[in-house]
Amino acid sequence: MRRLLFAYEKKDSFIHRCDPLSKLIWVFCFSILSLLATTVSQQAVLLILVVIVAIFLAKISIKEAGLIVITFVVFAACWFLIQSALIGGTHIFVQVGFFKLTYEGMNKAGAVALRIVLLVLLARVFIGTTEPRSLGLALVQKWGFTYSVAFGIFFMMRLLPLFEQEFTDLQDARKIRATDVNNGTRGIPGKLFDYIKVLLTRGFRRAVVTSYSLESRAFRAQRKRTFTTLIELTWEGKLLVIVSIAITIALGTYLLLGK
Amino acid sequence: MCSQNKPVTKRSFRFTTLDIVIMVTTGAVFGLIGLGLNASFFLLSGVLGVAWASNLLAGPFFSCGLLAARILRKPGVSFITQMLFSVASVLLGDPFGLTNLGFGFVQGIAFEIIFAVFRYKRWDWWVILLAAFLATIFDIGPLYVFTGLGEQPLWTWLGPLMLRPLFVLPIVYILAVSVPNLLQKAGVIKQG
Repeated sequence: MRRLLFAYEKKDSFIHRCDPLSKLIWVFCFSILSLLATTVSQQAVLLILVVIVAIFLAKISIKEAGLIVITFVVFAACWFLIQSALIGGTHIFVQVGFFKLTYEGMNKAGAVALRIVLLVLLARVFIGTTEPRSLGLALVQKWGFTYSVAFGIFFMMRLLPLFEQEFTDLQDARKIRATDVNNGTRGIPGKLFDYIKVLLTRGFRRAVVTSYSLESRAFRAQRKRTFTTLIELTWEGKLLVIVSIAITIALGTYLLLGK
Repeated sequence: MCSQNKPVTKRSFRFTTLDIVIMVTTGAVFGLIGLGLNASFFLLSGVLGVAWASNLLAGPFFSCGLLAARILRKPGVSFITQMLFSVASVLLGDPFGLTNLGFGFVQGIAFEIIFAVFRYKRWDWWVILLAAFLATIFDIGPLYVFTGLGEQPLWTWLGPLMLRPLFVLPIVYILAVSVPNLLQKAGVIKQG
């Protein structure tokens, strides 16, 4: 059975013990920093920080982290190779005929390539360590979201692994039934259309059942709900927020002034 | 006179639980599809350039909010669904990261403008395509800011982006008009 990329996994780690909102702030801070970083070295520093958090603080094994990013490394590597050749520059690294790699091109393309890997790993750490229900509860209890909005976000986080599973099931089913015979580029739009149709059909059927189930429990009948589970902001979470904001201010200022 | 005696049936524009769940579901499905498409964008843009790659892959990104709007036919549906799609993309680690929220916001606003012009009463295929057309124009803003188009010469991206609706509208027609019709025929949903 294939491992799901976007599913919560119960473990005992520093990041698992952090409350969902602290992790959300952490993701937000590093996403901003990844947008500000424009060179390979800057993105590499950020990627190393996220890898450290993933492996040592979220207890994601090196093998698992490698598997997660491997698909995106292919795209990142293609982008790097092609863009390095296309982006001009004055300092030539290597030249074979018309094909010319410059340091400037490699720097810019490499930064984007590393950003692709960084964001996927960041998302994996967040989704893999955050229980969807606790995120929904925290949004209502701590940030004052209305519970229908928080429910939307909670429900989406529950749906993502389910759809991912259905997507892989569908791929396997098509292979077994030999409907994947058209493997050329001409078959891609048709295949995409098929996947969307099936995912939406199954998704909407599930949506109808979920809405009946919610309404039978008086969902949205009252403006406020009483929660039996209370979300507490943990010291690990507070520490993560302080460190994330400090790093964002320090690196963000450096990156902005550097430009 | 006779019409005065007819019972007035005014449609409620308040979201039901089913509406909320359908919007979230649509956002999640397209979030997953969009992740793959955005990863492919990096591959294609290396070969074709940012503008042409964006043209080829943009169709499904404009279809999400419009599909939900075509099904639910209420104010705000297209904007909310498009934003949920952006949130799903961010959560899934989309290579465009937080910039997805900017794209979703601008596209959602464009959809709502067109539906508001028709006072949320017309949901024909051409209104859906008109909304997608306006969104392709609005979308140039975030594309210019976030993908580094500004650093490239004007001629390399202005022409392709002007041809964008030709690539986007047929896909929007399939995903936001034909798919809801098919789903309705299959008894999965009831439009409006």
